[in-house]
Amino acid sequence: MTYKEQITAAMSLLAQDDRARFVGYGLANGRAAGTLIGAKPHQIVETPVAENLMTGVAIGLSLSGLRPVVYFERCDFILNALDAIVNHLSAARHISRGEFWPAVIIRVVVGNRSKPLFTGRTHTQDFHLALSRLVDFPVVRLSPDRDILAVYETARQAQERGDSTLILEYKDYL
Amino acid sequence: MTASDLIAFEQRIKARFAAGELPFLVHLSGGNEEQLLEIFRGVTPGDWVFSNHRSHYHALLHGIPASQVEAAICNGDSMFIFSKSRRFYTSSILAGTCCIACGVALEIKERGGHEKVWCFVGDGAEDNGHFYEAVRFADGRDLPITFVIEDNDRQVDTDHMTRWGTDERFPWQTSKVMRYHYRATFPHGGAGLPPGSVKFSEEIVKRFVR
Repeated sequence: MTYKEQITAAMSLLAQDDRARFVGYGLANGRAAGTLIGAKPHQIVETPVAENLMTGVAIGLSLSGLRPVVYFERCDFILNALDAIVNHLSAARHISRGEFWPAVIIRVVVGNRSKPLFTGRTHTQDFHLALSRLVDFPVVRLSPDRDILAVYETARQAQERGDSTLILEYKDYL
Repeated sequence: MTASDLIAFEQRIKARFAAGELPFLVHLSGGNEEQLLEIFRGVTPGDWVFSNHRSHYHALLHGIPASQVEAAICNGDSMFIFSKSRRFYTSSILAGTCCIACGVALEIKERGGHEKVWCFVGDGAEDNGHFYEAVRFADGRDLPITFVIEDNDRQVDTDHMTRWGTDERFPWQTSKVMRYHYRATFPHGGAGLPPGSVKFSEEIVKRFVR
């Protein structure tokens, strides 16, 4: 399978759970660059381009027992959502002394540097190092040699336990 | 719980703070008892309440026992009172709960549930873009949520005129937002005691500061 086929298969795997919700923008029509073809319409939560909102909505869905995956079409844009990710998603279990364990899979696309063109400084930044220092859950990079289905299966199981995972994919490989 | 009960509760916390028992930040409530009692007549036990840094009254009025709230405060959790069984959630990050509350309300609507979500913010949080995003999302999707702006004309210690150049409030044109005004009886943080008047022993600081 190609890189994109593996990601598409991973999304379809997650979508098999009826509690899965895909939250973000570019999902209802673009279907996250065609990778959400396995998701049912009711599993798509299309949001405005308001990254903190969509992440917070995902946290709220998780508090209510659903299994949200929030989608960032560029890593650059995740900076708008750091309050929800760092101060809320990552901190909740600690500050609530274990009362609340929101768990979200955060899917992040790092923009293309060369294929088919360079999309510019603020569409190609890869903040994986900074992100891994800001949150207390795994930050995983999908290089072409990774078993992508296995990464998402691990993230799915972690979410079931109440743990979040942030997974970066690279448009140059798509 | 009456207005007198609420006031007495915060006076007890103030006394413990003055005695040096609470070596951490507290935000005491006061001056809005009647308004909150009226609002909470419409809040049912199954509803979600999202509170903020000033959470004591909300917690008490949503049915968390006073002894439990006081124990949490005295354990350093004044800003972090949570209860899954009571559906009570807080954040001390300005406007931080608004979008999370929307997610909870979205699930209720999708399921066809009858619960409601109540999200309490100050007029400081109202200033923030995260509040705006959440209100628009809730309004457009007609989510079962009410944002309550607790307007004490004070963002930490700055009034509306000073920070916005006008006293006119923003006209939120949606039934999802309500506002009440009040005059706070305590300062933003602390218990309103003279600076330096509270001494914390080394032992108590060691026990709590982590």
